[in-house]
Amino acid sequence: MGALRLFAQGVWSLVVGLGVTGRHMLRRRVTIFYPHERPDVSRWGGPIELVTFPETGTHDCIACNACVRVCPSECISVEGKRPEGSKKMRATKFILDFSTCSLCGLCVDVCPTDTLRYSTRYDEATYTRDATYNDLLEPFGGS
Amino acid sequence: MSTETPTPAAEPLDTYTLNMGPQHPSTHGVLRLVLTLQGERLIRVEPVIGYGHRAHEKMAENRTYAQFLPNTSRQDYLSGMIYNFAWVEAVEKMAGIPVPERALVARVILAEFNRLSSHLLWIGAFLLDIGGWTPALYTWDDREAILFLLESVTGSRLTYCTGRFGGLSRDLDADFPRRASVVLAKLKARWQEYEDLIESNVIFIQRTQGIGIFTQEQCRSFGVTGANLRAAGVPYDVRKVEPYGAYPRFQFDIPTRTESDAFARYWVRVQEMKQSVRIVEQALEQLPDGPVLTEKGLGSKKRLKLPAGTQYYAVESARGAYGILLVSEGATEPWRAKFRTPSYPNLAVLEDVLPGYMMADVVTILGSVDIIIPEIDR
Amino acid sequence: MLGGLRQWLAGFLGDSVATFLLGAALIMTFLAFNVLFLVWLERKVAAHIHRRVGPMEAGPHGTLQTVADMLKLLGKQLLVPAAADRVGYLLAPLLVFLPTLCVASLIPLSGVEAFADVPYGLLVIVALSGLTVLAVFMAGWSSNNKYAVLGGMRSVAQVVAYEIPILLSALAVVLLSQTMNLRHIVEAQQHTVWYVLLQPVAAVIYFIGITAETNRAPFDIPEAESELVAGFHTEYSGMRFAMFYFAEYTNMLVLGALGATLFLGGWLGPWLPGPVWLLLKAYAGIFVMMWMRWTFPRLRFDQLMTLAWKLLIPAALVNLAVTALLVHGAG
Repeated sequence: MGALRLFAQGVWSLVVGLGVTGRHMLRRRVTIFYPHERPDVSRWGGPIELVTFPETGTHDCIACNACVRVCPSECISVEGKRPEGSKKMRATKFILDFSTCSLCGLCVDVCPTDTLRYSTRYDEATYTRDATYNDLLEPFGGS
Repeated sequence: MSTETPTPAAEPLDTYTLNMGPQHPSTHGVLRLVLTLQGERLIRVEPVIGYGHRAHEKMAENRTYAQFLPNTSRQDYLSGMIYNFAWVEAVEKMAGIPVPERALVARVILAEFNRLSSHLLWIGAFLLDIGGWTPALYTWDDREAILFLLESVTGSRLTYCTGRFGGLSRDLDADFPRRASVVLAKLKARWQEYEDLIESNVIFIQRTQGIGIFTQEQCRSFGVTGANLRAAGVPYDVRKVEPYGAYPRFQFDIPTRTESDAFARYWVRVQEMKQSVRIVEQALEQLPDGPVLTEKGLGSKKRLKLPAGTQYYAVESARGAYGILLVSEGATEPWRAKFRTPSYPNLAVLEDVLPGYMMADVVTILGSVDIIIPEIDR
Repeated sequence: MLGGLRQWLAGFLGDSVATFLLGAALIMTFLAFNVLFLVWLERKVAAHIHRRVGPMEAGPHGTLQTVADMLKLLGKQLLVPAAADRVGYLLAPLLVFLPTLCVASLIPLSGVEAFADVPYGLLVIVALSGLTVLAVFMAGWSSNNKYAVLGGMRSVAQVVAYEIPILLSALAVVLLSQTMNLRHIVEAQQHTVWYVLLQPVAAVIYFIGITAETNRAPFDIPEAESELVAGFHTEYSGMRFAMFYFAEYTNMLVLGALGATLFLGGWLGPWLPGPVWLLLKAYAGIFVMMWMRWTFPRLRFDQLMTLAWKLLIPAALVNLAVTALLVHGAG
């Protein structure tokens, strides 16, 4: 009799399992039609970019190289020049080699002018290695 | 790491060697198992590791304590948050850095969500090994809710770098407790479904009961920890045995079972998930206000020099006891960082356990132990 | 229209040859479209169980996806392993498909068309379905691959073991209808009730049997053995691999249609034409098979064999004995 009860339990478990998947078959999808629909990436921490401050309308990178020194992967390179009539240095070249960046955020932490932040880009796959070099000064007129 | 050819006198003549190569369609990673079989039965198994060695411990010697932070998540990428916090807490303890209350509780919340997502993935992968494709997608759906929540807090989904010496880099926003409760409610609604679809299913029970039994002596002699040890009847959980962080404030049980087969390991992990939900609920209630970081840029703007000495700091990751041995000579970089990862002994014990089982069970047992190869190779 | 075409062909080739060719062409076309549909259905059923939607890009709701996949497979390089047994290797994909094609021609459609009225139809069908096993083993053996042989042998053992419960449950139906002619079996169900109500045990055993015959989960060890060891069609690529796939879905349809004929009343049903009813019933059975595939994990090989030999065959024998007694008692 115990064997028969086990058998009945086994068969019932199969029916219950079918019930679970059957119910799911009738419900709406939980996926999105990428690339026709896009996910919400407002809180995603993507490759870094320079902040545009509303007061000045531009970035505030002073080419101090703190981010360059702290980066564990050595993927940032910065060059700067002091413009005429200014006490502060200003970045003339800011390249991020995204192929080695690990999105750790240490550069964002150390920036003394808070001019670095994560972007929300996620579609960063490229066809060539050169294209992985992000020029952060591009929105500001290029390096 | 060489593969010894078996001496002819040691084994019967009708054995053959089967190589479960570094690439195989399981989600465990690059592991090579050299199996010696006699018909369907396993005579010997030799795990060959090292295919994923990336020299994390060497990198730790050449980076400052803050610069090592991104490496921590990559060791065990499924418990990335837990590993990140373990490093941060190890350094904080050795340097005597105070951590605000809010950060301590927030770390528990984030770590437990990480544990939940790791166990959910394991359920999916285990069922895939056994041949059920559907639970993997249901656990992925739940995991998506958790990962989206963690993304909203940390900015990352799998490998987190949100721990800082003295707290967290980003605070939990005011809406976080509500969003977290929604995720928890979604998970709790699923437990019955998982039980109906998996745990009570007669085929699953037939495939996992009585398979892959570890004895407690084997566990002790190899150093097996995590759900494998708890499924063998030993209630060892680092969160209870050597409490750290804010864990002493929360009430939770350590589920154990005595059969120590694949089914018991499945059951223990499911119960652990329920306990994790319990911890998170308590933590959300007790989440204090206040700052989440004592000093911004500690370790990055201002390099940390730890006092000379040696310290071992252990936490409970999703796979078992994870320990960091830090040896400092007073410099800004560690002299030596040794990582005791739980998957290493969990895999080693299989050399003792697997012989005698049939081929089809090898995959089941390997899946039930829940190993991640990158943390074995580091 | 078809009659006219047949007469035109008969002018060249003679009546019987013309009928044969036309019939074969019709069945092949139908089966081809059927496979296209079933592959699409499988992907959609799987998708909806998984709370996603499956193919949507190729054609409206992905209906042309299978066509796209076939075109892709046609473009693949056809390799023959160097040490493979060439004749066996090349013949196997064709042979695996042939018996199923023959069985397809034996399923009666509806009372109107005088087609498939074979006195011992069931016997012929059972004999023919045993031949697919040879093709599977031929594929595994001629591949010259340790793992293909293992997969082939397992498949053979599985198919042979599960053919017996299928036969025994079909025999129970024969006892009820007193004939082996499939057309008469359906007509008998017109006068009584559908045999699924009179022979529920046999129907369930038959259903489990055909799930195992077609290597569907939870009995798909020979196929999904890719966790450890690849199945019997490892060494096949491109269109040859597609033939095995084609044969699996055709087998599902044919065995499903046979089950509908034996237990669900074949072409019987109101309003719709006979063949449509037969198809609907067959597809209902196939739908349940797909549903099972995406719900249950796999049985281990020894558990699979235990189920056949220690559970299904004794149950089918007992069912047969009880049916015989009841039929004898009823007079």
